[in-house]
Amino acid sequence: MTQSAISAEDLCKRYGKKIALADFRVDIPRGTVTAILGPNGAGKSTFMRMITGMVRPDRGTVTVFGRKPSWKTNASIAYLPDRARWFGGHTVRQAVEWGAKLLPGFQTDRAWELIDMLGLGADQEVAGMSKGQEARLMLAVCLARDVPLLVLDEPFSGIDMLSREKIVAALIDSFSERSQTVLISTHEIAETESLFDYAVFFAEGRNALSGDVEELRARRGSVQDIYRQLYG
Amino acid sequence: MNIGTFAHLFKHEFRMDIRRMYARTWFWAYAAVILAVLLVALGVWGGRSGFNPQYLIYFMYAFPFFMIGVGHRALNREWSDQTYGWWLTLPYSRFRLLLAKFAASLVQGMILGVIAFGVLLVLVLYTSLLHGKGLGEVADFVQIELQYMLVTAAAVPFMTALGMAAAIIWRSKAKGLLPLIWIVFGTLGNIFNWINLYTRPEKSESTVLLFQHGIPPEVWAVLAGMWLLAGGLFAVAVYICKKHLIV
Repeated sequence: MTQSAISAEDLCKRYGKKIALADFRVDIPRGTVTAILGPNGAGKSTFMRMITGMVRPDRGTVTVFGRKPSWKTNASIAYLPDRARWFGGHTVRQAVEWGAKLLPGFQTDRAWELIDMLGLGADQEVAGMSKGQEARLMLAVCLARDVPLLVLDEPFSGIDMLSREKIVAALIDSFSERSQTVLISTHEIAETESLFDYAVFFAEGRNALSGDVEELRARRGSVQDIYRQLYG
Repeated sequence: MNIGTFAHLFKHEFRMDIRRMYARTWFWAYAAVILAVLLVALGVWGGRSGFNPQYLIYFMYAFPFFMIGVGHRALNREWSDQTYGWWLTLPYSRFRLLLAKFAASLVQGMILGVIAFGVLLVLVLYTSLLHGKGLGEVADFVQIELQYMLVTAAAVPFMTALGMAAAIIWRSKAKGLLPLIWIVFGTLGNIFNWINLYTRPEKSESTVLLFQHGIPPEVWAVLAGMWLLAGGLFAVAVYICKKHLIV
């Protein structure tokens, strides 16, 4: 039996009257690149925030490699938050130093390789960067960590096509070198479908469908087709 | 606590606002213009009794309130700059993350306080040299500054913790408690003034000294109490950040 990297049992979370997660259950296998899919407000970001211990469930349990999420488990997780910005006073060099000093598993040489590959320079100031450049810097900080779990919440949101292509290339490069478990939440399915081994489709806080991408394709068509069937 | 990572967290927090301040050329322009105007005005009118630079020390009453802003800003900027996702998922306890912010804010405040006291002392020295009142006046002013420093040292940790607690409560399920906190703060805020009224003789000559007949023992008790309260408020901020934050 495949061991779970992340396991959720009857997760519930409300924000006032809005239900973010409703009896959500899932088992995400170790070593897979998993797509976290669904329309806006389906509960994807809440689930990812629960994995990092930022949000606590009202009910139910979630475990990351068998442990309850907390600041301690974050030593094993590289997390790219959604709608995040990088620290405005930093240069790229200072961002790398920040990662090296504060993030366990951060590999400085790997960070510089990624920064070079993503077309950024050491002395570039974050304050003067485009959204795409800033997104590439944040992704480089995450991918430079040699940790068992990588959680990327909408890494392509609001980013131009060229930056997206560079990011996808960096992801493919990174995944081929390491045996990490990776979760990516995205709406850019066409550009990223080839990355995924496993997919979880969220609908109104529930697990509408999940499984091995090859098996899903054999049964129901491409990931894009399944997305249309579920939410169209 | 791992001192190494705490030192890095502290350095990161300390530099964030310092960088912003350096970058604000208008801030330095204002400071230079105000200082130039003061030097000219003191040069011309500094000898007159109604135009004594010692009175500028009353500005220090605003300093602890300024520290509420510093503490509040240290927390709030994570949301206004959209960096809270990075900050809250660092693999360090909320206690350590908040302590780094608290310590950095205190040190920033202390540096600004020392600069402000230093500038005032220079202005008093400048006036004394120009208008020939002698260095005795400067020595008196040092005594005044020490009293104000004591009150500032008592109030600053409490005000910084209050600013931080207010910022974190605003982002939590306990948001409704915030008006109550400000009401309690407003009621207790004049505690030093009350002590001084109690200890000051009814007919006294006009002076900027806070305590004319030495520092009353109650002040030391209040100082210790304020630091305890600061610790309590900090503990509240940590607890809310840990258990009740809404993100």
